[in-house]
Amino acid sequence: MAGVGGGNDFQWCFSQVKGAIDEDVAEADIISTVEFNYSGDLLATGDKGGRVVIFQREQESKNRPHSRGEYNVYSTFQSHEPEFDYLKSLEIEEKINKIRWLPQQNAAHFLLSTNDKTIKLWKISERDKRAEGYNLKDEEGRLRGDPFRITSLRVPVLMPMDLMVEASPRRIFANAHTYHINSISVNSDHETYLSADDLRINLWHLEITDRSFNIVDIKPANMEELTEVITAAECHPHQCNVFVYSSSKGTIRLCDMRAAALCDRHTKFFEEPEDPSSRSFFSEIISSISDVKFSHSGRYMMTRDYLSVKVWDLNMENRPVETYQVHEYLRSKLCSLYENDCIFDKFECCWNGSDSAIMTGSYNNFFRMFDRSTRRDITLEASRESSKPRALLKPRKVCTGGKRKKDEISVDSLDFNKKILHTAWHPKENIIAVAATNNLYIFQDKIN
Amino acid sequence: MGQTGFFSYQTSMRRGKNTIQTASMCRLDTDTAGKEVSQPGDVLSSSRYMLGRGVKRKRSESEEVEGAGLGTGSGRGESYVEQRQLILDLCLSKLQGCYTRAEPSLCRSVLLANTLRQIQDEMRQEGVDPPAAPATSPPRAPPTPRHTPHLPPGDPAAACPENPALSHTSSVDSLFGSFEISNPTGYLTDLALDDIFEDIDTSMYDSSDFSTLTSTDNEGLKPFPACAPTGTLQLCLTDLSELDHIMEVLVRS
Repeated sequence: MAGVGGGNDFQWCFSQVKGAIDEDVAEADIISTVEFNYSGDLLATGDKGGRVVIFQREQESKNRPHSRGEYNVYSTFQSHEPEFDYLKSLEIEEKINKIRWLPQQNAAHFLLSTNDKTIKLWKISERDKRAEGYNLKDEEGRLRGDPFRITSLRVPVLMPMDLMVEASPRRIFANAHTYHINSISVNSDHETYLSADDLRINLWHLEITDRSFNIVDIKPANMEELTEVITAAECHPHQCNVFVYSSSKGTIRLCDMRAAALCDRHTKFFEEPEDPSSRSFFSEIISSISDVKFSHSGRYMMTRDYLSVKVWDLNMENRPVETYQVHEYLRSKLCSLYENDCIFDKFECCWNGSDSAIMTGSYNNFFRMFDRSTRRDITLEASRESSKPRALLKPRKVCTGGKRKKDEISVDSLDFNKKILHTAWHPKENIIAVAATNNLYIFQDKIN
Repeated sequence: MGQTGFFSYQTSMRRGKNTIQTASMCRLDTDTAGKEVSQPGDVLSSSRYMLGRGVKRKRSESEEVEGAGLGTGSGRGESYVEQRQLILDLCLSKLQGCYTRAEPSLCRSVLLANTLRQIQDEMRQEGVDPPAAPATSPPRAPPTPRHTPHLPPGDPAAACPENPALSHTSSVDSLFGSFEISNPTGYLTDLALDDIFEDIDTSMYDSSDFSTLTSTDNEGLKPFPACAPTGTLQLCLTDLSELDHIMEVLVRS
């Protein structure tokens, strides 16, 4: 029953749930990305309606000892609007595909958000003072009558006002992607970032919007020959010249930007030989990588495919050092999952702050955690039913053949509309954010 | 758990189509065998990938399919072939549906096309005509009008062009090619950017107006500095008359 993640014995308990309880879920409210900032004090979500909601962790108060720093809405803004491409009669969705925070440099916070086509740099800043007493303007900003009547000069003063959080778009990086952007990743030099679509990866400078450098291009001259696409890409957390990208064929390429301007030739190629005994029509589809994440240390990377999570040592290309089955019981159901298109779902994965545990989602609002040292795993559920304050999360178990025990759920009664694709782990503490359709669940540890 | 395989397959498919209106649950569990009788309204949409629609399959048979452990590769029995045909048909219908999807995904299409090729290769190697699905209706529409499907010489499938399922499979490549057209780069080729505007007299448009007009357009007609450094991302419109037309519309408005 012990919790996974961090080594200490603890259990996960419910902390908060955000979003409407309604059974009717508006498409626009479906959460499409979740991301903590570097300190963990801010948590950003993006949704299919193009909105970004930022939650801020409240300071722990002595009056309410039980509330251990809850996350409350800090800022909400419309990051992307739906567009229509008249040339191609194509709708460009406003859905936020990814959010990435920039390391904090001053009082303001910056983040990148992207939809299929356009990346935007947002500044989120606070204002709690305003200038009063201008010579030529009144408080509303209108000109004050005849300037020649002014006989004395006064110095405007800053007056306190209610705290206002402003989100303003600072840069718009458009027109560099002809396919759908699936990843953005801020580089460790804090000056550049990469953006990846199905066939290309571009490198940008955060200050320059009218120019990007194409660093990977796998588009074949003849599109009929296309058999592979880029599914995710990420910069190395410490080496600014290194990045990886994963493909729909289940491989990962590590590239060194020092080698050439166009990194068409990879430096390392990570691939696990296929087990012939588990070969099926769906082998390629389920081996397609949906997410790739470097560990905080930069030594490892983790990839998520349809049924498993793999941890790779960057120094070993021929096989992963660890493989965790996420929902192996679905292997016999692949035909149905293919039919209802679930097999194309793109699950993401994340590391805990110390790289000792990993988390990823599944169906039926289940999510899984794996402790790397003890190899223990746990299945938890994000549900309204157990959403009482500080309620311990009960580990869930899926019946995998044989007789169903009490408290077990059979594979056939899993709800495949309820899927947890996006999760985030606080960079320092055992706090996790789990996106379940239109609800954001926040869980935290409870030390025994 | 008992009844799985094709029955669950068909019923869940039917349910899948109704999910939005009726139920929010999407499960893989099975309905009772009684529901196997198809509803009339369903036939059209589902018959394409239903095997033996209307022919009641014995329960033991369906269990056998599940037990065959699809893809073990060893047992190439009847059930294996049936399953393969089913997957093949689904592949085709999914690929056709790519154009109409709200969220077209290139990744999904590529994976489907690869699966389709794999199955086709396997069938060709076997040199066996796959059993023609009796209930398969003829293709609703040619996957693409721009590309006439053709089979490579020596293809066993070419022997029976009247087989709807096979004439269908032959068009994989064209399916995929036409995806490209509906795809963001459909109208883009690797011609130099300057060529786009070569034939268009833009002198009548003020340059600033031009940029403001086109800035609403995601792709942008402005020169494309983002691609300039490497020259690998050069864009062009193949259909210049289309651009002319758009410009006219924009200027008039």
